[in-house]
Amino acid sequence: MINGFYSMWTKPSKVRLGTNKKYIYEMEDFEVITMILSVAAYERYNGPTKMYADEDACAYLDKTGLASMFHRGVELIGVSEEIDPLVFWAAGKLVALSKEQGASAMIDLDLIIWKDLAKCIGENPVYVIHREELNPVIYPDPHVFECNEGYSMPEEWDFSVLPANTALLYTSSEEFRKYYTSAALAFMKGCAPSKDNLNRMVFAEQRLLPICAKAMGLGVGSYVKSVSELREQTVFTHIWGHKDVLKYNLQEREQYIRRCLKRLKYDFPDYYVYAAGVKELQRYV
Amino acid sequence: MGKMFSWLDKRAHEDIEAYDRRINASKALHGGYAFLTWDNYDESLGVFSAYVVWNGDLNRRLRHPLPQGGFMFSCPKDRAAEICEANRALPVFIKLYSVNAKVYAESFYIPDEDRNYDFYFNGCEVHVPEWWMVFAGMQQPADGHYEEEVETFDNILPQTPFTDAGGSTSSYKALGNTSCNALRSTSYNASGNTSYSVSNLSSYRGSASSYRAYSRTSYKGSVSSYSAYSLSSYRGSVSSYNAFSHTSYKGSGFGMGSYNYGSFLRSTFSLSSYYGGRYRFGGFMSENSASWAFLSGSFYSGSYASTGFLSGSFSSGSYTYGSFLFGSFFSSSYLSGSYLSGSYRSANRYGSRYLSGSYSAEMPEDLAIGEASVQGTEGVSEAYAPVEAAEVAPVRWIAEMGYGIGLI
Repeated sequence: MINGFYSMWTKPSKVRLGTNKKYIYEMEDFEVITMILSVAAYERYNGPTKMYADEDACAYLDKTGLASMFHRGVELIGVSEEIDPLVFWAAGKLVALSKEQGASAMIDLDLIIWKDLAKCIGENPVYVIHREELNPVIYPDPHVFECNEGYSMPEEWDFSVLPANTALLYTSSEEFRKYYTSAALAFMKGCAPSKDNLNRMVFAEQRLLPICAKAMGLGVGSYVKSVSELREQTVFTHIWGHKDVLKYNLQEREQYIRRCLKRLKYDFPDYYVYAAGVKELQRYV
Repeated sequence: MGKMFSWLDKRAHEDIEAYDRRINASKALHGGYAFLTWDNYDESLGVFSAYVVWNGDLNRRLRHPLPQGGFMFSCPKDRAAEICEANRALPVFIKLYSVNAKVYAESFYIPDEDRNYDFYFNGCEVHVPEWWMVFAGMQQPADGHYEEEVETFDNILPQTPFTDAGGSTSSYKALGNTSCNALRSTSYNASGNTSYSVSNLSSYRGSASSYRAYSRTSYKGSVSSYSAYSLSSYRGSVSSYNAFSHTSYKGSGFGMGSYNYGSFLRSTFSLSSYYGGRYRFGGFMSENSASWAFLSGSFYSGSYASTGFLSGSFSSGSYTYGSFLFGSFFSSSYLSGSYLSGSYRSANRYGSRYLSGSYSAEMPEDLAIGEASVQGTEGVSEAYAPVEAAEVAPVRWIAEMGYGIGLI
């Protein structure tokens, strides 16, 4: 059994919206059904889950009744004001990871794990879903990042290691978790103001992970080496870019949601009741 | 084009349920135009992937603004060939629906003769058409689809369009309604002449290490005729470049050619049409005048007299100009005029005082130039400024990134 956890940090979308409009966080129908299915499958095949959420997300989970779906509960998180939410829009994940204790798996809200992870992970102290290619457009030389005075990257960091996709991140090493999250959050705070919303974020999240692991002498295991191998597997469903189709194609969205509901109803009836209670899903139930 | 969909606003005393009912009961609206080219037609499947330019401010009002690419519809081969041969766009109609006062696109269709094509998003790949086609589709309607829009457009052309920005350091409205959207959302922050931050439409940051620019410009000048849009992205100067530029040029009495050019941008996607000779568009380094144009810069350069349109920057001989974002200018010797939302810096005469916008310079000649230019300016609707064009190519890739969907 491996504990799992998710995170919801709504500040980036709140800031994007601006201050003129009243902000009430709400998930899209396809997002919430995916999350429910993800939690249902994880708790069935792996272990109890926990949600780390900021205030707005907590309010949403309470309002919809979804908070009680997480058998390890919901914990409030706050991200430092020093971190720019538009540049580091996934900082909430790192904060959530820093709060975890013991072996656990960090799971993206759009990832569903259909099998027992322990069999895949084996003895790896750090394990991700797949590695990424070192594409310089996405992962430029980190020395081009302007940083505030007082921040510098440690010399022992090896920038040649391949980045790791953290849609799923398992770690059993307390030391690694502390080192990685501290390094990532320190980088976020140390970055000079920027409009970049990709390179810096993926450096902190995806690149620092294997860099920190290597600095500690740890290897990073992965389910597959590259994303292309994921097409032929039966362990993971990752909605990822398919969300675009679900956004713009109502027919696809309806089919998708109905399929998820059907799966919940017959395979995870205990979780179907959560879906049935969500306002956004009423029209499909 | 360029419609303001103000009826999609929630009325003052309208509650959410009533608003939802009103939107859900509304008829399908004309949401934009699909531009179709043969290289976007799959003969084996009989499907078109379309490049779509959405109408006016429709996208801004949707919960999920629609992308330019990724849409597809089935079309018989014979009819597809006819459409492509006609070089025109087909209107896209959208049925909207609203949930909790959030408006979504429910379905799309394309009317064509006696049939409606079911138009849908599946993340398919689309090749961005040459820009002259976009203009052709708009300006030379084959079937009257555009008449209403052209009329609307004419009505909002500025009657007294020239506004003396006088070296204003803030954003302003120079060209009346047709371009005010662009200009309103532009801001400029000069810090030591090296840092620009332009929101929404444009951004420029840093002078050496990084640069990001998005620009949309249309210009129809008096000397020659230009109708151009540009979308440019440039990032990094040493380690990485990522530039997309689209430029269209329609000359008066000139033939149109096209070429792709990207000489020192490491990753350049350039679609340009141009009149040859010394008119060039795109990122390049000119041999004759030691001029550099980045992104979708275009200029005529002869000796020291330069005419630059669109978003470009260059350094010309003794006179150094930096025109960023919506820059366009005419320079003859020391006389300079900046049209549209151009910004430039002239080392010798004008320093960095002219930021975004047209201006009336100190000399009468400049004013004349400015007025003539602006009078000839045809601000093309925002609807035809394809904001997301640079992001079209990866749509398929992104959409396909999901995996294991069938396991559900």
